Amino acid sequence: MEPPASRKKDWILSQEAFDRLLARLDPDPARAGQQYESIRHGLITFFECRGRSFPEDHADETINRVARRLMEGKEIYAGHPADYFYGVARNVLKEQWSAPSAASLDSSSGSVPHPSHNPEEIREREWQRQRDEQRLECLERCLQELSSKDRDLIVAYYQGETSVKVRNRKQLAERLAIPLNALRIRALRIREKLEACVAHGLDRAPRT
Amino acid sequence: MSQTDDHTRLTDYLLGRLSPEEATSIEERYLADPAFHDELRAAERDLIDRYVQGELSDAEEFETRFLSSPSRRQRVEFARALNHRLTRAPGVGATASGAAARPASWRRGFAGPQRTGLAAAAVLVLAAAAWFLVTGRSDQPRAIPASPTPQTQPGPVAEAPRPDVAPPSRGEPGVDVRVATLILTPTATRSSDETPTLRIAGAAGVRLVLYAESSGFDRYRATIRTGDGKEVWRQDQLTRTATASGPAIIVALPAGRLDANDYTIRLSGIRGAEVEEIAGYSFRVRK
Repeated sequence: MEPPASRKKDWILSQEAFDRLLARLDPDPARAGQQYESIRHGLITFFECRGRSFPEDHADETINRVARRLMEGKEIYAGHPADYFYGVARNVLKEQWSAPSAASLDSSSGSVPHPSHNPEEIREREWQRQRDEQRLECLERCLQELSSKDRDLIVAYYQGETSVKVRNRKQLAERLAIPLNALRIRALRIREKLEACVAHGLDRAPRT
Repeated sequence: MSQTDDHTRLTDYLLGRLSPEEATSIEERYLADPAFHDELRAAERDLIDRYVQGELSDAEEFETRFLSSPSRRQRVEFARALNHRLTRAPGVGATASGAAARPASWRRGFAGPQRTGLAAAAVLVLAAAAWFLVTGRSDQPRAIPASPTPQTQPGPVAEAPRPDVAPPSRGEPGVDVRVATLILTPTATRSSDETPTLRIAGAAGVRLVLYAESSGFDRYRATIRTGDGKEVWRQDQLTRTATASGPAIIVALPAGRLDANDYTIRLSGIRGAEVEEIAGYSFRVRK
């Protein structure tokens, strides 16, 4: 029998449930961990691409539901585990669409008074200005923390404006003897590392 | 399907242009295939970069369809910073026109001249910092002559564009001084009782060069407090920088963080999970 909705919502992922979920993804714990991370990231992307403001929450809700079903002894996969997660994620999304939610509010909606008349807007601008300064400082620091190999690659990859950049990238790929697409993915990984480092730095920066 | 076709489809997906069936086929694929998920994320960064660089023909579409989550907005902000820092690196034929992103509705009023001004100010901070490092100039007499090695400075320094609004001059011909620098030695080892004073009128940024007998730490943390103990700035992940007078930890912060007041700095060393207090400093700020 299905537990009542309130019980479903309050269900918390226990260690046992998590272990069972991982074991279901792959018998090898290391590979299961990778699978889990990969699916979770994919789910976050899915909810983000479907316009959800807090995709991580929905991804975790999806994973919780799958884990709960496993704990209830349900058989879940036919093909690739990701397919099952995807099905559950679509249900989570449908529920989000049908439920009135403040979480999906887009801050661009609604009319905003002219900045010069809106003290809130002025404060926001000042805060943003300070935040931008902090971000540049963090970026500088994070670049210094990269290995020199990664730093050289990311600097070379993003150097120059449009046409120069395209030429630079081709030359860089040739120099590294890798296809352009492999270079792109390598640059993506370094960039994501930088994004995480800057976000971490901003989180820890004092707020006004 | 060619890589170009894939890229176009992924961009269309990110902008919500695909039919539900097409979107589903992409979603099924990237959930099961990490390499394809990489492709999607790379396409997303390309799209963001094009937006930030003003290259999207329909920026409105991007703003309304793409910028739905705080994390995506953060990625756009990061791209602006990255574009500012790397696209204009010297020696690559970059021009100063750079990232003329149009104002996003979700950040209405914070773009255009203000953003350009901020970017120019940020570059100026770097330029002035380099100048300080090269000349060793400080607002105050220093306990230790400092001339950190110029190669520790970031790239854009050499080609720093002029700001939209000229900053106040400090009397050095041809140099716009916007960073106030103070060299500090630990309170316990300072020979004079006089509190070092930093004058920050007209400065955009402040650099505090901290000398300390310390080594063997992975990172350093500096915490600045007012005389009555209120924390005004904290910076982790600091590293030691080589200077002519020996290694120092350099703390950079916006001048707006400091009022006319007395301050203390606590410097801690971080090794793994251990945090060890290394030195204390005090200084005074005057406008």
